[in-house]
Amino acid sequence: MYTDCSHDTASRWLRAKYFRQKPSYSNRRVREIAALERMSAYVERKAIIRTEDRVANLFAELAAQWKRETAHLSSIAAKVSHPAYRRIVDLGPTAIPLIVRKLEAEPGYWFAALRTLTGENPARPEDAGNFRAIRDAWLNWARGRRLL
Amino acid sequence: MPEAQLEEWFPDIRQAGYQITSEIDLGYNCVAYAAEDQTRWWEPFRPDAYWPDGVALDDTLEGFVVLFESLGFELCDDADTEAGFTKIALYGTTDGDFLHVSRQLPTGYWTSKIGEAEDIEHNTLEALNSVGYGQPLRFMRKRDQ
Repeated sequence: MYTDCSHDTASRWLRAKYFRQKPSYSNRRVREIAALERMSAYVERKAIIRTEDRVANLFAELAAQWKRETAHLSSIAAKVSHPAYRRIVDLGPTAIPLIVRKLEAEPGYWFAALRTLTGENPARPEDAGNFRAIRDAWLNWARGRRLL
Repeated sequence: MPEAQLEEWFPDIRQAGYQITSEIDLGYNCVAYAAEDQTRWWEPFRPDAYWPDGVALDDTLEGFVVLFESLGFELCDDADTEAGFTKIALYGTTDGDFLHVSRQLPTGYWTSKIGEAEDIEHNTLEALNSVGYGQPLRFMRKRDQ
């Protein structure tokens, strides 16, 4: 999921080049291989961070578009059927921490997305219609999972 | 919500005249506001929303007519001010979709909750005619208590 094609290709090429020269490694070669492994892990971490940044940026753009185009609508059903909202849901579980942080920072009807992505609903049925109670229930849910 | 945003949603609102009368509040929508409930979001079918017991789950224009009848309103012919009555106007599409409801003030002007944004007063019903709200299609009245 978190891959960077160019780095993967380079990493595979370097590994293949070194590992072709089996069987006996000198101490120097062992150190070089260890350094390569560290470099590879570093590149992988950076690739993950870049991917997370890209997802966060995409989420921010879609969330802003969604609010701009649906905040005046009186129907939650209409809000959550907006293409930007559906694209956020399509981001999958990666979007969950982004959504709960957004919900904490700025109120919004994110509950349908959270229900879809988590398969859970921490809100009490008797709180139907009570935005603050439902929001609190989801924020507590997120805190319990160390997402906030 | 910035006025520019309101005027983007409702192209005729500036010319008709309006003013913002509350803070942004996601806690209630136009249906709740028309029913004079500022504590809940009213909408059928949604687990996040309130809908009165005993009222059929129906999100069409006619479904909302039935909702307001359950609250003591009756259909009437127009939006003209009538002494002793509060009127509401239900917006929608000619296909029967419900999109918004406004409540008449004693002055003859109208008040609306704009989605999850603010309450506004608008001088005419046509001020909110738009893609998002359609147009006023049903008028209802309720005797003042």
